[in-house]
Amino acid sequence: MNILETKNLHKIYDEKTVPVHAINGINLTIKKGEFTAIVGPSGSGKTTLLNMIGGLDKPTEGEIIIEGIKIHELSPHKLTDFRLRNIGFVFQAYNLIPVLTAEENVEFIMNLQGQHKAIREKRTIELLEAVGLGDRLHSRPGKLSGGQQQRVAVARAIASKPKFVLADEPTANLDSKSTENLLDMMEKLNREEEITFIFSTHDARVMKKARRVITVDDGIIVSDETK
Amino acid sequence: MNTYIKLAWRNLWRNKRRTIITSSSIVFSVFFACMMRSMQEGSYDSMIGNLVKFYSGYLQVQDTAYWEEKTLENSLEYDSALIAQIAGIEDVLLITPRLESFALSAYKENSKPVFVIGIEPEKEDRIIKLSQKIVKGNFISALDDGVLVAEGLARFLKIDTGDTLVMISQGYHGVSSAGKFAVRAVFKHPAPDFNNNMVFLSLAAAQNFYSAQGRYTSEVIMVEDHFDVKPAKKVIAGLLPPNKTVMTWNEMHPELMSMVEGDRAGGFIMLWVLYGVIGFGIFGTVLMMVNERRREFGVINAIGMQKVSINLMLFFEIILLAFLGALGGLVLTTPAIWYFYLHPIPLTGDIAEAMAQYGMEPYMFFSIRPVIFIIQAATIFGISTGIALIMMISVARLKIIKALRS
Amino acid sequence: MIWSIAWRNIWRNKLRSLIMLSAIAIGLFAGVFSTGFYKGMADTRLKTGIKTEVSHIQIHLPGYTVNSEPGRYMENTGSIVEKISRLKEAEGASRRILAECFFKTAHGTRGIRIIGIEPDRESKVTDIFERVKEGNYLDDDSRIPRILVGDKLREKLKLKLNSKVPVDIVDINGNFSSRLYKIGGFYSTNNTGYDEMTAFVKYEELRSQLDLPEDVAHEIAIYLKPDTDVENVRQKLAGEFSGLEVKSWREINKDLAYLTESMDQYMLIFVWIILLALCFGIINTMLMVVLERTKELGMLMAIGMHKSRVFIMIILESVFLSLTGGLFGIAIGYGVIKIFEKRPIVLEMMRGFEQYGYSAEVYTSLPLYMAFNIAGLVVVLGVVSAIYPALKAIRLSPVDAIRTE
Repeated sequence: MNILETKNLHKIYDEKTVPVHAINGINLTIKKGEFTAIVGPSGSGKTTLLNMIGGLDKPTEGEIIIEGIKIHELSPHKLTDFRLRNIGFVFQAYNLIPVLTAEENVEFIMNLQGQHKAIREKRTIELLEAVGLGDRLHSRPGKLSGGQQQRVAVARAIASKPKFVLADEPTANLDSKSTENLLDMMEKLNREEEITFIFSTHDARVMKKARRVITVDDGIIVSDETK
Repeated sequence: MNTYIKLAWRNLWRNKRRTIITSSSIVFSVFFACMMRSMQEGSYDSMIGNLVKFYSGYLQVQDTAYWEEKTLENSLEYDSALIAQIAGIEDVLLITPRLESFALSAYKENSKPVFVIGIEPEKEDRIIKLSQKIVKGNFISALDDGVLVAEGLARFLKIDTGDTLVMISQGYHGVSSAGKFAVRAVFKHPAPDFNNNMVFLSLAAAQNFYSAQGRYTSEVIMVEDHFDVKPAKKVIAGLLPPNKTVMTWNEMHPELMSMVEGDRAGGFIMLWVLYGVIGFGIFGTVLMMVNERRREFGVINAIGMQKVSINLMLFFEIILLAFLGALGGLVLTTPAIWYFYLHPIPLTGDIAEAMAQYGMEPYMFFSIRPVIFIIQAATIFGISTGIALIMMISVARLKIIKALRS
Repeated sequence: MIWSIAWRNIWRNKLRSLIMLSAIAIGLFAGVFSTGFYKGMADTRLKTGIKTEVSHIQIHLPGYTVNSEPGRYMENTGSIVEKISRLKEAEGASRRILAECFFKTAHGTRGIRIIGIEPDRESKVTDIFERVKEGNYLDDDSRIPRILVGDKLREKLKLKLNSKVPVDIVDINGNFSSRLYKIGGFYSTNNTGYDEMTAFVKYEELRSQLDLPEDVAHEIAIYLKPDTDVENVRQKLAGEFSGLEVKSWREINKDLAYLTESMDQYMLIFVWIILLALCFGIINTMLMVVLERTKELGMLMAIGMHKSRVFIMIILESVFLSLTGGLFGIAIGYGVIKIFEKRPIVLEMMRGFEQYGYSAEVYTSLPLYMAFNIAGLVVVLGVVSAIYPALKAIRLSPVDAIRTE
């Protein structure tokens, strides 16, 4: 079942006088349960692609369809709501709200979704235990290591029960041990809970773990391999 | 909602120093503004109070021509029915007739023009508390033919209780009038102007002196406080025949009122400047706060928090900051002002003399009118709301992609 | 070098610096302008107070100013006045007879202060003659004596030009005396309170009505030439007329002296309060500057910049920031004051002050040195506000600072 589909995606930035073609016609489908890496050198258009499928940016041309909804046609307000309910995000760094504890950060997104307090609390603890931070519930991000912070971010991303999780270079700031741990954890979640992960990276270790690697360059897909 | 307030509160303490400095600036401005306004209003209250409580009363009924032309020709005939009617009005505490005019007073070779007020001693005492101001001698009764002399005047004339004061004037219908009056008492009036030229005597004695039997120039009316003045005026005006009019205390002292207005306006301008400066400071701080957090705002917007909600959180943050400052300012100010309200600061030396020349008591009075404090809190609230709105526009324009990259 | 680093650093965060600059500029503009405004008001009050009311020096019999009994007069005043008039410092001298009288008119009675003057001499001392709005300055030689009254009293008593009014006085023997005067003119000064209370008649008329001996006076007023040291002349006269009390306007009119002199101080306090308010904002800004440049400062210290230089650099940045805004505000304030130096600002809401002698037409005025003083205070503001942030900066350890994210 396709959960994400892009059709003839184009993105042109109007940088002053010279238009920059960041994406030049990308057709892509992602199925439920995938564990996919999008790779490419910097300036390849990979971040732009990720932003567009995450509903953070709009295509100049083409369509992005998530579960049958053309998200590029949504108003900013509806789009924000759509992201809240359908997409989980893990960013490179500074993912978390610094004034909230790990527990509150995870709970926060369910709070935004308007879920019941009892459900929120229960799920938060489950999730943080699942990412191995059951003992750091009440620590604020400043007291957590980079790896721990990213795990909280993953816990938060899946807390909202999204259709898929988008992770933009989630390991860029981590050492190899933490990178390994984070990837193992994500893989486990993918395997056991059937959560779809799409992540961008230029880290060979990460690519190795991915089951499908899509390589982007000059705004087009140059290769798409499934292991 | 709770979550936003909690977030706002914690965000405020992310940078403790900055929050403390910013709210200190608000504490400072609120403290200063309250002190200054309290002193201003305190001194107006004292000036107005001296006039209202020790002289004019809150309202007066007069002949329509009397205010423009204060002669005995424009005096009134005693009308007991009207007086009873006015006295019966709910807000009116007291009504008492007066006969006011001027005279040349003399004792031995010294003379001085004086302001003469014929009163019903017992009633008048309940308005201007004259008997409490007596420094020597005894208060007069209704049928007394003696006078009460203000302390400054007595000093000038070198007259004392028991001596005889001579007064010469022009009576009703231009009759020349002259009389000798035993000085029954010397009193001290808080307003230096009055203290230097005021003479009280019984209404009967005054009417006799001015050949104005059964006449009076005004009816002084006392109400509970100045809030009752307007309604009382309305009712009284309805009762009066066309040749009589009712005047309120502020209509009777237009120069004072206009000076108070001018002084108050000057004070407001100073405070606007102060608040303007403080406002810019808060704006600068909030701007830094928002700029530092552009990425964070981008992240929470990306994961699904609506901009409206981000703005709500930001709004709470700014308002909380202002609230802290305003609260601190009021907590600091209230006891100080309360103390000084009960114990006005006495002034000495040049400033005291200067104030006496302006007809003011040489004290620094404070006012505890709630409106002074409410206005300061409201101003701070207004400023911070304005700043919050500007910031909200900036958040509303936030581009997620750019914010995430910053 | 650190001067230019400090200056350029200000412009790294333009928006933030501009906000602080405008706050400082607006604050200082307001401070300078209101100082000029109130100073102008006080100066006008002082000038007209001396010119129309008190003059520079007054001579009385000792004790007269405390208790102004008509019997306390000075003798041989003609020669005294002549002598003083010939002083090179004196613009003019005039003798006066003063009395508190009772004024009876068809439209009311009133106690007023009446001043007997010799018009020729008086016109060299006060400028009342220039302020006569209607009628003339007691120079009509008719059979009935003339009286010059204030416009405010005319308004209150509905007086008419050339009408006759009786003036009642008790003379020095304790006898009642009433004399008719014809209203010869109306004058008006800036001080409506004074106008309502004061009237002028000829010296000789009042002298005879009070039954005073010839050649006496209660008061001799002296107006000095511009830029004369009043105290110096006062002492000279006090030495010469040892039996008399020679006082300068400062001693006679305490409120004039006090309020005009204290005005400068009050306004300085206001400026201080503005500066203090600005101080909070600058501390916050500089604190931010230090915080966001932690890494950079660490680098500078690591490559060998002394802590004292880092300290000075931060202080300089703050001083530049304050001074740029401050000078801007002061310059605009001073410019606006210059504009209203010649054409007055007329404020209807200030009318109430006229009763106390303050004109509602305000000519702003600010001596240049005061503008410089305020500029000096701005430098102090910059230094003081930066001390705490600068201390924070030099407490950074270079190694930690560089590592900071």
